Amino acid sequence: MKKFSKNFYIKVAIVSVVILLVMAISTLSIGRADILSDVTNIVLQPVKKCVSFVYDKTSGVIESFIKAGSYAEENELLKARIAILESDYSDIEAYKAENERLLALLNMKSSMPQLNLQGASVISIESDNWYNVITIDKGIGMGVKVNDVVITAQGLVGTVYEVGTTWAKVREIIDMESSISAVCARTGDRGVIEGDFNLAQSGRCKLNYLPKNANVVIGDRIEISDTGSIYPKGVYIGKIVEIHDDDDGLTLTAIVESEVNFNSLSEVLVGR
Amino acid sequence: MGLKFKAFLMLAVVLLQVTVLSHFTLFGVIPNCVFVFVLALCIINDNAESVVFATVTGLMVDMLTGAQFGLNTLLYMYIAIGVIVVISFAYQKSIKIVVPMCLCASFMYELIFGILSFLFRGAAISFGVIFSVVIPACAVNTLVFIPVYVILSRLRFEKKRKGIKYERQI
Repeated sequence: MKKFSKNFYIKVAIVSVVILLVMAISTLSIGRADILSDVTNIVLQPVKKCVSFVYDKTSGVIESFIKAGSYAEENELLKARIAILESDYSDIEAYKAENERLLALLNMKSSMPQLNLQGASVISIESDNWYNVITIDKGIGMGVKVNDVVITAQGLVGTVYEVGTTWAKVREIIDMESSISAVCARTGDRGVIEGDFNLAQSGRCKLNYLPKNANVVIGDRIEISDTGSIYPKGVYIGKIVEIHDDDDGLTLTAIVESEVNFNSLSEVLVGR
Repeated sequence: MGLKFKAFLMLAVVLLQVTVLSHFTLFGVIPNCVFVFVLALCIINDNAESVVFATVTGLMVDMLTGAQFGLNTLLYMYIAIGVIVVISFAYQKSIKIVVPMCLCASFMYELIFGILSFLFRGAAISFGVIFSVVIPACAVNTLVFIPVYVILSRLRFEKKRKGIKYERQI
């Protein structure tokens, strides 16, 4: 059996009393720290700072190791959440774009009160290497007739050439068969907008039969003509981007670029 | 095991306790590795030096944690004395002897520490903590104690075998 000496117990008693005194002082003191605690803390402050520094530097790394398992699970959950949010964001972007398109169409409809326009959705774009045709979801039942114009906020898309009960086929202005009487809004020079096979892919068409003395310049706005046309006047078609003399030397031909994106049509206005 | 090595171990364990080990919970309680370490050292080196060592460790814990200053110092000191006195009656320091001793010491430490913590804060003592904290803490501390004790015993044995005299007789 091992025993401590009497001297040892006396030392223990002294240490205990000292510690109890410190405890009592630190317990009784309210607000302002007592001198002993103050001195102790001042002396130990570097140690505490050192410990805190080590803790700050190591806790993040260590925690990442400790929580590695839960991170994998959390990662999967977050990935799933991100996928949902991305899908939602994509939907929101689509709705936003649709809203902007519809708002532009609505404004256009308001700005053309002379036209009896109604909204329609493009249900198919049948453009291939040879034809530039779209189908809309409005037909005879909704009052759509042949030669009705189809427009967007960016301008004329084309004209209706075939009508069904609930659908109508629209020939785009860039199609080779398209032919519309047009006028330069600035000068009043008239011509005929016709589709061209070589220009169709770039969303352009020709303005043929302009008089030799026409004052048209690049950038002039071209609209549907008010005379000799079965289509409603004043509908914007596009802007002149090039002007050429014809081979016969009697007329000019201008290249007109439409602002309509014929590859991504979704909502249009149809009417007359 | 030299004093410097023990001091280094003590500092390392205390730092680990306040940084890393506080993130671990077993049965809903954080294992008190500092207490376990001190207990194991006191059982292995049952002398006055271990009491001083335990007291200093308690002081370190008090300084580095938010506990009432002096509480751990006193508890560590008295538990070290108690453990050394009790272990001196044992004819050997086998696991069968030291594990129940660890359970008792851990129970006493957690119970007294808990009660005094309530008292120092001026709060009413809730005896429900005996089942929710004290007993689970005893079990967890004992689970941690076993490998710590085995490792420290091995270290001591290795040093002795090399003929290093480091124990100071009282």
